[in-house]
Amino acid sequence: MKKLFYILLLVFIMLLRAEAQNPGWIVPDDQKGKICLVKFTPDMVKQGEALYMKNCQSCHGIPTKKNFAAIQPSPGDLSEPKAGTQKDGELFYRITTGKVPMPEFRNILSEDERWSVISFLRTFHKGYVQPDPEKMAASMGKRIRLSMTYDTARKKIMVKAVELTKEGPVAAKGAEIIVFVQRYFGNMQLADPKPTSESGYAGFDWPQDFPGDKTGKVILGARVNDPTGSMQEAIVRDTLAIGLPTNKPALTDTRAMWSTREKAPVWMILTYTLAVIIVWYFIIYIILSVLDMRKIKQVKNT
Amino acid sequence: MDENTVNNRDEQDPSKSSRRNFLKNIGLLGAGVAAGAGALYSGDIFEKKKAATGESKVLLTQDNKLVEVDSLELKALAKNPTKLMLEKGREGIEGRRWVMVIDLSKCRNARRCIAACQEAHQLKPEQYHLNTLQMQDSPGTAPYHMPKNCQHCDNPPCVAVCPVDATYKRGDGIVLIDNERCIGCRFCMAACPYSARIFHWTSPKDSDKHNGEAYNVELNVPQKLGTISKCLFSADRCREGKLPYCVSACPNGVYYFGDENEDAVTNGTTKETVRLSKLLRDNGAYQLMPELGTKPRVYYLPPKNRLFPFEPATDESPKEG
Repeated sequence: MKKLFYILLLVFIMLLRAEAQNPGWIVPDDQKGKICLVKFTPDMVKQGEALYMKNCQSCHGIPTKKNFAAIQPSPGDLSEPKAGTQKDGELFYRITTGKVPMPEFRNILSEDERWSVISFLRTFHKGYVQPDPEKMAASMGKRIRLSMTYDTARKKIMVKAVELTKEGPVAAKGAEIIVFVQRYFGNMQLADPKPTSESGYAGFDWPQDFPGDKTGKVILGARVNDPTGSMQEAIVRDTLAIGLPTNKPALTDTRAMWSTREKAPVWMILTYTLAVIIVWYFIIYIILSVLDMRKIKQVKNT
Repeated sequence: MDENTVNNRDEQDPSKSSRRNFLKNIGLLGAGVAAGAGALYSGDIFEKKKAATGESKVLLTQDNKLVEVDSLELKALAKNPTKLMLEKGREGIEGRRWVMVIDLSKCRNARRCIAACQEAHQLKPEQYHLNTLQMQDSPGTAPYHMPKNCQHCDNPPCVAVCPVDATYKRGDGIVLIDNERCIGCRFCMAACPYSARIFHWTSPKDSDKHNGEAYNVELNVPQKLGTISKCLFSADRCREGKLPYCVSACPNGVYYFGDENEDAVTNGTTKETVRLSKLLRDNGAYQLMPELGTKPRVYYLPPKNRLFPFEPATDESPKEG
């Protein structure tokens, strides 16, 4: 009896340890239920495979081959039950948000692409049945319309969210707004997402040293932060002249040691050319004088 | 000679007077013919134009603007495409100053950047525009991996020594090489304090396959035997608004690339855009050998709070996984 107790205790401790070694990557409950709104197709699986090989394989290895990278925490083989027993929504959340050292794929893969990666992984999970998308489609809803203005006095970008209901537009309260600025290689998020107030407004401090184009124009955008995808795409773009006018000269404009001939000042070109001409004049003069001396010598000899 | 004598001479020599008249007539006739021909020619052009209106084509110009052109007005350029690309490559992208930030805390020597670079620029596996070096600053400090490419200096010693204006700096900060001009003297290799340049001692990779292709100065392909090659900050990709090959190939988020004028850099892995000044300030960024006054365009973030343990590279081949 005592022996059995000790064994049970040992097993319990081992379980505890295993739990401790796997510090939780907790998926919020409201994200777990998210499913793909279309049935997985062979085309999706094919696209998912290509995306997996490009984005995931460097750490997770090829599924079933167990050739994942030796880093901590271990990425693991995604064909194993550890991934296979997770719901679609859990996998989607983990891919979307990432957790150091796994990068977040929010901006790397579109929502469709993330689902196709999941569809590819699901081909390795025996006994997986995709939840019926038809039933979930009904939960789609909420149309949000956004507008953006700049409050000069408070130096804030004000975003107003309006929900379009059957009864007409109503101020949307608690919609999480993200404001971003367009830059050459992508959009820069201005600050952490903020929920809209009772009146449907969210205000974002505008940094006064933010560079705009030559006239100070900046292309701004705002969208509703909606990782569940339940709201219909709510996004607005606007050009506001609120940035610092930036008109820096090209790096080749000033004269430097490495500048080309076009940058040389006139006096330098003239002096140089004159110097070359003078030097050549003397060289030619000396040669001619030598020739003259030879002639004089010949004349004297005859 | 007064009026009288002229008249006298005219009367005395009628043949001379008639020659003058004859010449005058010829001149008038010539002017008339020229005018007529001009009118006919312009009429012909007008007719041709009238016939041309109808089919139109939408084209993308070199400065990325969409234009509509009548299809009959399109003429194939007699100009050599290599020459066209060379001229375009001399001009930087207006209003930009490219800058790269390399976060050493994230590099684990996956060498994907190198593979992507060598693929794009037709380089052999032993030729590097970009290489990850194993660094250890002193015996007591921890080793780390450091990607090192051309620093695209604002005061480039390589450009100053080039005797034939083959390597040059552009307005947007990129230092390029015109391999059509390069004479292979390797002065620039000697001048570069970062050893960023390579020389084609042997025939470049697949040189027989790419023989006769138009030379693209913004990509440095096809590579040429007996000339210099080096990192180009993927000038061709910058023109298209895409991140450089190495930056987008990195699986670990090491590289940031962007425009200093916009004060923004974009991470190649996460595609997250952050403020350059804040990134440099918060992470204690530094540059390579700034004491030489070269003013590099590449910044390094120190290998602090590293995500991966240091693993010495076993060989030079790209590591799996």
